[in-house]
This record gives sequence, C-alpha cells and structure tokens, in this order.
Amino acid sequence: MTDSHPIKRKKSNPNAVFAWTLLTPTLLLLAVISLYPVLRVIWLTFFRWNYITSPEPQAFVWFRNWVRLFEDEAFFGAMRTTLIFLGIALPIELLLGLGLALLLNRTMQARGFIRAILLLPMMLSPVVIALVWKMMYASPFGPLNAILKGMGLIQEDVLWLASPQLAMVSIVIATVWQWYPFSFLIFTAGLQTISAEEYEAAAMDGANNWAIFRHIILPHLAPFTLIIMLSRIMDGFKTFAIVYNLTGGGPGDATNLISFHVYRTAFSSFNLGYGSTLAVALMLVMLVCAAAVLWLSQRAKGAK
Amino acid sequence: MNSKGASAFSQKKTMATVALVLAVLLMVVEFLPIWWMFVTSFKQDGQFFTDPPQWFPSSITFSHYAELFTNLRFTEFMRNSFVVAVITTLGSVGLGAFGAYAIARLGVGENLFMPMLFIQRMAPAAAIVIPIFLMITGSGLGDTVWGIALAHLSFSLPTSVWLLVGFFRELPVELEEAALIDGCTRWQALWKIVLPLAAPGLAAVAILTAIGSWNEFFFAVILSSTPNSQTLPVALSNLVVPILEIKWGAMAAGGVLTVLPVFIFSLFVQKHLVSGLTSGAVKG
Amino acid sequence: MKKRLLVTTALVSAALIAAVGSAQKKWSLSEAAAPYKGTKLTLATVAWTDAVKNISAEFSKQTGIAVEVVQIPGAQILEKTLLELRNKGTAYDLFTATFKRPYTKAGVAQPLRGFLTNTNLADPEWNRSDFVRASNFFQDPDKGSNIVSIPFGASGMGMFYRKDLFADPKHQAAYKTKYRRDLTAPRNWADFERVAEYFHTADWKSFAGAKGVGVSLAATRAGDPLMWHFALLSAGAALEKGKSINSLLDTKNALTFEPYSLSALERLQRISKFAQSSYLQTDDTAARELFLGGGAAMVITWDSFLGRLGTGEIANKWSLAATPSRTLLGGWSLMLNPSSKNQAAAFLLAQFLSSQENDMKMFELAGRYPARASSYKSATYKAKNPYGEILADSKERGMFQVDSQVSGQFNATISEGVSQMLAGQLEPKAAADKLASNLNRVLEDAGLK
Repeated sequence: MTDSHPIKRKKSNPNAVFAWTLLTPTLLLLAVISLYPVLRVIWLTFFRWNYITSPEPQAFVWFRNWVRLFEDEAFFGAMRTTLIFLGIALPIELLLGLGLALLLNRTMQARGFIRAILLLPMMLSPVVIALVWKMMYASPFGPLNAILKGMGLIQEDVLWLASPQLAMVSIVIATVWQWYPFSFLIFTAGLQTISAEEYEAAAMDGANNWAIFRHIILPHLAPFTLIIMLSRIMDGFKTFAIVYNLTGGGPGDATNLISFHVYRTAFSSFNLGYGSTLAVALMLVMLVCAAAVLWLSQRAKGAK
Repeated sequence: MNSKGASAFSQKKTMATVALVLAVLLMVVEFLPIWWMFVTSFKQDGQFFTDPPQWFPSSITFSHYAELFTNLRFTEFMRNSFVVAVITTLGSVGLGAFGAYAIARLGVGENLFMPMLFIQRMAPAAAIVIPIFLMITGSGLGDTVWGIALAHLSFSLPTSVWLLVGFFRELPVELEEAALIDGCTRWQALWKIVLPLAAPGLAAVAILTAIGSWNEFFFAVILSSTPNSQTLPVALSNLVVPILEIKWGAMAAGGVLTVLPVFIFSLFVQKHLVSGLTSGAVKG
Repeated sequence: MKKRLLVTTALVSAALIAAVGSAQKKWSLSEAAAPYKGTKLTLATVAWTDAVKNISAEFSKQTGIAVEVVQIPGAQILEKTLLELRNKGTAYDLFTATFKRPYTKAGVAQPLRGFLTNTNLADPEWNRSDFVRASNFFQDPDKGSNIVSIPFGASGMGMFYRKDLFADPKHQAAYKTKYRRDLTAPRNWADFERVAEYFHTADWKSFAGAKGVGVSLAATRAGDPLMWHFALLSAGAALEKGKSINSLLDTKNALTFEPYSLSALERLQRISKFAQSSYLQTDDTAARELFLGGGAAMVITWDSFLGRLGTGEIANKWSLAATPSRTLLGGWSLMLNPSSKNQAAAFLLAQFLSSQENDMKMFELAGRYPARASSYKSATYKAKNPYGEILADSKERGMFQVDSQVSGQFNATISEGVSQMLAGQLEPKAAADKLASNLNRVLEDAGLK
C-alpha cells in the first residue's frame, strides 16, 4: 500500500501487445462480474420493478425511487445505526490494538504464539461469530453471565440481546472481539518501521516515555491508523451475517445495519427498483467515507 | 525483530511482566468463546447450559458429529465450500496475477484501472447483489457451486489484482531486464523469473482469498437453494436460526467443522504472510 | 339341487372373474409410476424432514423414483421458492407452501386439475373431499375452479397452560378475591391479561425454584418468530370489532385497520409486562423451554409443542385450550414447480404423501398435524391430541393467516412495528401509525392500492 517505490517504465511501450494479452482475460471477467453489476444496479434505480409480478422492469420512473429514498426514515435510520455501530466499535478496536501492540513490542519471547492465537478470531466465518456469541449471551446459565457473576461484576443475569442499547453493545463486543487483533497486527507492523536509532536519539535528548510516544511513535503510526480505519469502516458497511444470525436487526430496529436493511428491502419485498436505489445510495456513502479517509492520508503525507 | 530499539523505550522488568500478564489475559478472552463452542460440540443433550457452566464436559459424546455427517449432510456442504473456495482462488489468483503484472510492470491503463478496482473492491456485496443475482440465476447458474464462485470472484478478483499490483511493484526489475537481455521472451521472463519471485505474495493472496470464500455468507445464502450448492456457512446458519428446535450440540459441532480447516490452514497463512511481507529481502 | 349348484357356481365364477378383472384394472402406484422410473425428484420442505424422508423412501421403493428432501427454514421458504419459480429454476420439483396468492398472483402456480383427472396418475382411493379447512385450501383463492395445491398438514396456535396451578384452591381463592371471577383458562384477551397479571404477581415457583412468570413470550427478531404477536394482533382485533387484518385486502387501506391494531398493540404492551424479562431475546424454542421447566403459567405457540409435553416434570401438569378470541390457523400444502421436468412423478409423490395412511404416519413420526378429516376422527389421533377438534371444525373457531401476494411483507412489517413498540422505541400510537403507513406502502408497491 505504501509505494514510494519508483516504477521503471519506458515512454513508448513496446510491450503493449504482450501487456494487453495478459490483461484482457482479467479485464473481460472483471467487466462481466464486477463492472456490469455496478452499472446495471445504477440503471435499475430508474425503474419500477416488482420482481414477483413481472420478470422484466415494469416502468421507467425517472427519479421517483430517489425521491422516495429521501423520505425513507428506515434507510436513514439504518445508516445512523451503522454509523453509531462504527463510532463505538472502531475507537475501541484502535485503542485495544494499539495498547496490545505497544505492550507486546517489548515481550518478544511469546509474541509468535500470542499472534497465532490472536489471529484465530479473524479467520472465523461471520456465521461462526454469531453462533459463538449466541451461546455466550444465552440466558439463563449462559457462560458470559456466569463469568461476570463469578468475578462479582454483576448479581443478576444481563440480558444481552433484550434491549435496544444492550443489543447494540453485544454486536459491538462480538465485532471488537473478532477484529481488534487486526489493528494489533497492523500497528505491530507499524512499530517495526521505527528504527532503534530514533528511540535512542530521543532517549539521549532526555525524552520521557510520553514524549517518545507523542513525538516518535504516533507520527509513525498515523498512516497505519488510516489503513485500519479505511478497512474497518468498509467492513462496517458490509456487516451482515452477525445481524442476520444473531439479532435479526432487533429488538425493534436497534441493530438494523445498512447491509442487512438493503438485503431485506430488496429480497423480502422483491422491489428491485427501490432495492437498487438503496444499494447505490449505500455505495455512494461508502465512497464518500473512503474518499474522506484517503484525503486525510494524503494530507497527513503532505504535512510531513 | 527490533527489540533492541523497543527496549530503549522502557527498561523496567516489572513493566514487561505486567505486559505479559495482560497479553495472556487478552489471549484467554480471545480464546474462551471458541473453546466454549468446541466443548459444547462434545456435550450431551441437557448439559449445554448448566449452573455452574461446564468449561470441561463431564462426559463426552460424538453423536452431534455423527448427526452432522449422516442426517444433516455436512459432507456435501463441506464439499461445496471446498469446491467454491478452490474455483474462486484459482480464478482470482490465476487471472489476477497476469492482470496485475500487466498493470504493475508494463504500465497499461494504470490510471484507469486502479481507481476502478478500488471502487469495486470497496463496493459492499449488498450494493451489487441484485444484478449479480439476476445474472447468475438468469444464466442457469443458480444453485450451482459455479454461480457462487462467480459471485465470490466479483469481489475477490478486484482485491487480488489490487494486492498483487503492490507485490509486483516490490519486485526488482533488474532480474527481469537481465533475463530479457539474455534473450528470454517476455513470456519466459514472466514464467521463469517473475512468478517464482512473486510466489510468496501469490501464496498470501491465494490463502486470504480461499479463507474469505470459505467463510462467505451473503452471496452463498442468496444464490443457493439446495445441498447441491449450499456451503458450510449457509448450512450452519440454518442451525443457528432454526424455526422451532435449536440443536446446540449440532450447531457447535458444525461451527467446529467450519473453523477447523481454516485454523489448520491459517498456520500456513502465518508463514506465507510473514515470508510474503518480508519478501523485501529479495531487494538486497 | 344340481341346477342351483350350477347357478351358484356360475355366479361365483362370474364374481371371481369380475373381481380378477377389476383387480387387473385397479390403480397401482408402481404401474402409474413405471414411465418415470429412474427419475429423481427434489422436494423442499419447511420442517418434519426426517418423517418426509421416511415416507419418501417408501415411495422410492415402490416406484423406482429417487427423492431428495431439502429443508428450508420457515423464514426463507416463501422467498426462496418464489424466486426460484420466477427464474424458471428447477432446483425443486415440489415444495411446501403456506400461502397461495403469492404464487397464483405471480402466475407461477402449476395447475393440478390435469393430473387429478388423469386416470393413469390419479389414485381413485385418494379422497379429495376428506381434508379439513385448516389444512389450507386446494384452490387458487381467486379462481375457485383452478386447483393449485394439495393440502399437507394443518396447524393452529394453542394456549398451553398449567392446569395444576389453575386448579390449585389457593390460587382459585386468591384470584376470585382479586378479580371477582373464577380462575379458568382465559377465553378472551381481557381474561388473558388478568390471568397473566395474576400469575405474574402471585407467589409460585418453577420446577427449578425460580419465580414463575405469567406468560412465556417469544419476541426476538432473529428468524422472525413473531407469528405469536401477529396472532394476537389479528385475533385481538377480531375480538374487538369483529374485523381483522384480513379486512385490509377488502378496504385496500391500512388506516381502516389502525384503530384495531392500536388496541391490540396496547394490550400486547400490557401483557408483555407479565412475561419473562428476557422475552425480547427469546425465540420460540426458549419460550417453550421456559414453560417446560415450569417457569411460566401460560404460553401461546404452534400446536407442534404437544410433541414435547409428554415427558419430564411438566408431563401431567399442563392442559391446552384454544387461544383467546379465535385460534389462528395455518397449514401447509404441496405445490408443483411449473418448470419441473418431472411434474407427473412429482404429482405422484404429492399424492402419496397426502394419502390417508401417510397423513396419519406424518403425525405419528413428526407430530405434524393431519390434513384429513378422517384422521381427526380416528381413535389413535383422538387419544393423542385433545386439541384436534378445534382444527377439525376450524370454520367456526379459527381464523386464517391472511393469504395475499404480500403475505411475506405483511408479516415482516407487522413484526417490525410490534418489535419497535415492545423494545420501547415507539409508543403504541406511534407504532400503529407507522404500521398503517408501512402496510399501505406494501399495498402500493404491490399495485394493490
């Protein structure tokens, strides 16, 4: 991702034929399975189409679906829910990942083993995450409540999925549990780009731990933080399986994240025209978020 | 890897001990839920939720696994997951490597394709599921492993190309140029020099693609109708969200079966990821 | 004498010949299936998979037609089969369906009259007039003469209650003092509310010693088990104004339904106070477990729960009554895929599965409720299910789930509104308003308004 690496390239390319031979099959497949769907979903937003009553789009309705989108409380509700979800989960992931990376940056011996264990949750299918936490959150006699009671933190069972606020917390816990090791890995890679000399120079200057953290570590980790944020924000918009399998979006619409909402609107109502409009709106929001993060990273580079 | 530098950050031994204890604690937290799934898969009916909870089962049964393989047809689901993952991986790494090489080294269409790839990589499955669904079912690939693999390629191919472009750019140009001067054709240079050099990167991307495809749920649940194409996550979901009877034991056993191949696989991931990331050594 | 003997002999032999002759002509499954030997059918079923497999194996033995049984979760089956049929897919040759209009309105329901009148295929002993109404109708609901499905199992909601508690003199006396009424199984929702309140506040314990609750409620959104609330809504509304959500289809305007849904929502909100505190994360399984453990005085659930009540501490302590007001009825039927290449064979399988013998066999193997009136009359059945009568004379005492091309969306919309109210996100009035406008949106999208 960090390519300050200059590429040697001749101005007039004698290898064009060879290059295009290599590229064409990939491009063709990409055009069919990636580009075409994006274009078609945009095109479909201009149609009224109930898939069950008609195998073909029923009428060209111009921007009627888009007008409806702006009046659609459920869509904006799901967007808001997704942003809240990200707003809670992401900072926790970053802090935990950073903390652990700093801690383990010193204890070298066990790091390989610890990393192997920490990698495990990231390798799990989201359906398995839902399964595992469905058991952990169970009541009565669920293991999580038993642990908390054993530690004396709670007296009564916590009903993890039975209130709108707690259900959100529960989804966040499961997500953080699975993904903070990702920030740990990236931050660890980031810490390794700091040379021993930089620490030593700072120590010579009489800098304390906080000063070293503030002036050496943090600046080095900034681009890595952006990598994590970009990746995790995109994942947040894609979160589907855990909602589908654990809460069904409930209670009420407390955990109705946007990908789940789009799926439910398109596939249980068979309203493909409006479903496509939601899909494109989701894509646009994600692009704006991605662009914002990239802009931040450019600015960070420029500031250096 | 540069512990020397880090030690300058803080020298206190007690701090190191505290750090280790904290790390171990976090590790336990990460591991416990998985352990619970594992032990549950061996518990007898009626022992799943007890007071106090059984972190080690008092008696063990293999009946849940037996049920998965006989009645619940998990052999077929595992086969489907495997086939889908293999097709997706071969497709995205095979085609992706050539495409990425063309973009990275030969400089074709870089300004056009990289932003496009980036957008496709970012697009959530929910955004393109409608056209993908119409296309795959319309072409008669509904409820086939090919259909699901194609859907997986729609996001894994752009991702692979994107990552591999990065890997190819890291490779030194000099070796290739030397080979060309020695009279190799472009093809020969690619096969004999570039691809072997890029092997760690290809392996890393392949493994990540395979795991992603194995675990994928969204497209799989929408495009599959019968055990002809249903993958493990879909079958598992049917156990997690049942209608009137929840089989905790079978559900946990299904989870273990879904996870186990990935865990074994991930041991390789570690090696290849590390070697892939440290392939910068070639530069020297 | 001789003459008589001769006549007798002649008569007997004539009768014998006739008998043999008719025996030769008699319909047999293996003969009817002979042309389709070696084909393979895929049957998608919503539940009872093992029993369906068992009976299908017998079918395969007699016919040489292989059958693959695929289970699809209830929350998905409508969506999956509709999409499959719309795409002219052939993954399923036949499938179980609970609503018919989604298929008939989309023009993807296979007419069956041709098969039923085909003497090669139709078993003359298969009695078409022997099905109870709760088992779902044969007909296209809009064109009575067009037969599109074969009934395959009935179901109804029941109110299970603790008869030992209800009969306890201590509770009887306390209840009478408090409400000036006798403590009996509630017949209407106002009664239900009182009884739930009483048992929620009264002093009694579950088998494990925990405080008992008034009613066991299931309201998680995962898998959408909110049929209970749907039942409450429609039944509650039916009670109060003699109308139900079914009237939506006549008026085409959900606002006409709003006053009734509002009173039902308000009632539901009050009743939810007398349920276990975890009801918002409780699914049907867990709601039933609570009752099985003696932790709830009442639970309303589908009749299949009967299969679980025979053993354990609960065994002699429960009874069953119709749900307050009117019982919500459902049922499943078998439909054929119009794109299937094996329709005749699929029809034979559907006919076989719904035969008198297998109708009872499905009950014995899986607890699935019979579809045939004759099954309900049989002694074996009566001994096992005191509730059977309600299903059998369902016309008077039951009310049906609304069958419309938007049934799926109706259920999803109602689930959402009810869940938002129960979760405290919306007051009943706001929930009812939103429900009405969302239901109108569904009608509009479907072109029904």
